[in-house]
Amino acid sequence: MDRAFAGSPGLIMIDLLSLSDDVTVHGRSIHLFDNLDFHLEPGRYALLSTTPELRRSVLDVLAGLRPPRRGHVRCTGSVSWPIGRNGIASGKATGQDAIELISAIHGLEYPRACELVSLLVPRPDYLDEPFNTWPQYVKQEFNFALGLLPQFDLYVIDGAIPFEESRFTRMWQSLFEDRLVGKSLILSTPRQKQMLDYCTKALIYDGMDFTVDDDLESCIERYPAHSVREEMGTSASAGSSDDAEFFF
Amino acid sequence: MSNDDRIAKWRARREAERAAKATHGDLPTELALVAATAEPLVSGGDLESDTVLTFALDSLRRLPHETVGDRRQIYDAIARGIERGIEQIDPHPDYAELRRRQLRTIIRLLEADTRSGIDIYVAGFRPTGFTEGVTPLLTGYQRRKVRSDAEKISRARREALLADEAYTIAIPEDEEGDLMHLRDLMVRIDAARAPRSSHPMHMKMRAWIAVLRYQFALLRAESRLAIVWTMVGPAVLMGLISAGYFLSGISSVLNMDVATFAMTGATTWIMFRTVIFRSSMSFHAHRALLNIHPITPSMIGLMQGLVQMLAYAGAFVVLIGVGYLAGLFSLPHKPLAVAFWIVCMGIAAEAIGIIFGALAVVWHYFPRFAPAIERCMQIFSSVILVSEQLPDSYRPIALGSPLAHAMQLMRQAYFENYTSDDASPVYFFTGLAITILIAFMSQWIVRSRVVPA
Repeated sequence: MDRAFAGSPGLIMIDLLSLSDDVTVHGRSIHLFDNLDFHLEPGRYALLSTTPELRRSVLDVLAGLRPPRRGHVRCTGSVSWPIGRNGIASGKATGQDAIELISAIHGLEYPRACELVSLLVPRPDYLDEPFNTWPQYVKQEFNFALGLLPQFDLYVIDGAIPFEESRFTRMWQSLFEDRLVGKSLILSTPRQKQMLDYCTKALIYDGMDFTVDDDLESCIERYPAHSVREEMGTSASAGSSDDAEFFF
Repeated sequence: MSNDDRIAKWRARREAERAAKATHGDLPTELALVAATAEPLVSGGDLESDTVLTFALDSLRRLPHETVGDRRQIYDAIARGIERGIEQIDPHPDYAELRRRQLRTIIRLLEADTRSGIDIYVAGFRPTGFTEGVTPLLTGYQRRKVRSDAEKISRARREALLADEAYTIAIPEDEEGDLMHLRDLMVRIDAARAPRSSHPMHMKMRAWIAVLRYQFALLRAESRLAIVWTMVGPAVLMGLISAGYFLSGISSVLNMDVATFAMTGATTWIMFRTVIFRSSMSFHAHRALLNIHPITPSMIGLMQGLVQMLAYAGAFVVLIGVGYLAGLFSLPHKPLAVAFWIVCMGIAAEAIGIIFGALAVVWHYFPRFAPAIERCMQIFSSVILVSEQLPDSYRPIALGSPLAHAMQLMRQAYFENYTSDDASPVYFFTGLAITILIAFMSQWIVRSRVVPA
């Protein structure tokens, strides 16, 4: 992914140039893009698709986490990681390690970043413990808390934004509202209400192509937010089953 | 009651009647009074049906109620008062509808009991089926209110969203202080961030160091046994190599004492194989980190290999130091040159690790063969013996691997009295450059197939 540094926050756009890509989902190779040229203007988009199980792979490419087989993804400004994914909160690392990693990469002050997360999450006592001992909901809240640390020009969210009535949800939503002013968003969530609360347009991935539709409500009705296949696993988890073979 | 009180009460009643007639002039005075006093039923946000029931029964008791017609007039007056209250106060439409429905239900229940011959005028009377009749009304109202509030919030959010403004989330008073503090922290975090800290180049450079520190943290989290094994592993291999020589009655190999000879070969090789395995494993297995831009699989693999190299640098120092004090090992003749060749072999291991990792992405079964490949490499890498020990006809076979050259050059630097006639730095560096090139190409080829976990 080429990242042209604009220098002025708020100016963000993604250019997909002659993009061709395929990905293995549930053991099958699927064409994601075929010589696609697309230009995404700044805005707040809900990612919708007739194939919701491919949204994760699509986000990987848009967020520059995985380069396509052919073509380029050019992005102006800073793009967040897909906030809400469990990814980083796994294994033997601790919450402190993850905060330190994010702080170091994004040039943040570690003590303040640590203070913010520990004041925000309901179980700061887990921050010193390895992730493999954390309950799932604590991991989820930690992931969303991490997403508030650096300021981005484009926020990418993959998962349901915290919605259960709790102190964490209220605090996180309030702070995220502050973060989002003047910024762009690509939201991939199974909750349709969140799409309406946070997005103004639909970014539709259908037939190896992207389209933008201003009528978000009608798009939400047309495209399923969730699929049974998605519950069965993701492209990433399909590949990770082979990790056990790495014992020497 | 004094006469003045009676007069005051009479005046108050006259005032109330006058006000009631002014509003409900078409009704008889008593009914106008009922209508006027029914207006506050919709004013207080009171949800209880008992309030309406008490009011209806009080009104029935005070006025003639023998016939259906009499009672109908009273009911109509109450309904009229409620409507007038709704007009005046303008409560939420759902609440107004709740009061209307409560009144209608109460009238229906009172009339049913009256026709059944039940005395509805006794103190504390509650109609038959009162709770069953009014509870669904309140439940429905509360459900509608929740939905209506949610719609109101959604509308407000939508307006804020379209105006690109921050929507204010409702926060309880006791949490406002926390939120202010968190906001302040967030502002200070942003302010302390260097202006060009999100520059891709700067981020990439910081990411290398950040991943290295992260990998160190993971090493720290490993069991104490695993860390001790970094010493035990080389010691075991060293013992095996030394045993062969000692059992043959050999205490010196080409002017190199067997113990130190075995230690240098074993520790270097254990480091080499660990770097290969760990870096190739992380290339694929630590894909969770790929969710964080600009971390790449090769960055993870290389940093994991570097962590292992540094760990084994510590193992070298401890083994040589303790062995020297115990009279087992000699000290290196040219320590910097020894370190240089060990680092060179570490770099070669990193490159091979990346190649193995890339192969594992394409063929997940490949890591099963990695230990076998490593053993073959070990045989041809001058770990157990140097090429000068072999007959001339076998030397080209032993020197086929560039690693054998590096190992012999490392021993040449370590031992004052050993000079390798066969080892060629040019051969090793050519092999290293080709390996690095292959590693770079292989990671580039498979990069798009490594999916973040």
